[in-house]
Amino acid sequence: MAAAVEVVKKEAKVEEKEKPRRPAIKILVTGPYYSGKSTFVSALCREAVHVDELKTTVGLDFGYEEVGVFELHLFGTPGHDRFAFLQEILAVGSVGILLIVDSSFPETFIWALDILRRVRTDPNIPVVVVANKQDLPGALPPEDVKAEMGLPDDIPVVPCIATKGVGVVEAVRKLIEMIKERDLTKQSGP
Amino acid sequence: MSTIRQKLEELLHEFERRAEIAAAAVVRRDGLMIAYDLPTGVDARKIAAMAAAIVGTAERATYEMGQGRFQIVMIEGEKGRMVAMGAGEKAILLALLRPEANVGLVLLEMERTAKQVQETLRG
Repeated sequence: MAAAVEVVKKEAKVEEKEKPRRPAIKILVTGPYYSGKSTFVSALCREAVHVDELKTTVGLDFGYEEVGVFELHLFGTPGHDRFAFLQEILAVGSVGILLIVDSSFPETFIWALDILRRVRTDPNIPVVVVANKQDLPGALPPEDVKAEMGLPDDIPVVPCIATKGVGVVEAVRKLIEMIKERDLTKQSGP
Repeated sequence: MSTIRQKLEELLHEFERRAEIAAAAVVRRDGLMIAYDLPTGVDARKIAAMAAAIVGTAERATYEMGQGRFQIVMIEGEKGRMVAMGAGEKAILLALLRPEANVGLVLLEMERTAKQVQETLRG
């Protein structure tokens, strides 16, 4: 009996090694502070790490999750300006950017645009703006967020309620679609 | 009656004197500077944010790698070392050491100072 169990275990190991590994792509999740970046990463990824102190991210969020044929590696940044250096560091090697904004707080949109300029060193990298907190009173719908931010046509805005996991997968799928269109998947990684 | 910042600055000066180090700072764990004695030309705000990011990430890594409770993080540069450790739940103590510094002595003094900082911030 013991020998049979050994054989089964060995086969399982071999099978795992031979399983074609999904291509991994690095996605940057950024935006002004308190927009819901960490919540978004947790909502999507079954395994996530957060480096935060006193209710704010001071290091990064990291999570991975299988979406479609890919394995997504999400890197969430802190939002406060004083961590701008970290936003730049974490952006390296990303093939897509999710810019999370608090839809009910349009005053922060200008900060979001500053952050985007800072992290999007290659204009070919696709961006999806996630209009989060759609459930809050006064939350602007995606079209209004787009207008307020003055976004170009090639940056879509999608609605989201990260705390409830609503719109999270859709946002990511939209970004993946854009990444595929621009054929960036082979570029992933530093 | 001195303010908390003044008290902390006194602690930092005492620490620097006893440990023979060049510079030190007390930083909030979310990256805001509390009190510092840093060389001119060094941007205190940037240092505070970086120290918080470094310590926060190092603490997490220590935990994730099953190495027990985080104690210190030490960064070696050509011109000296930076050492950081927790000073209670809300703060971090950072020190800049010269290359010839007696690391053992510094760490002893640093632990002592970290406790004092913690008490000052609590009270």
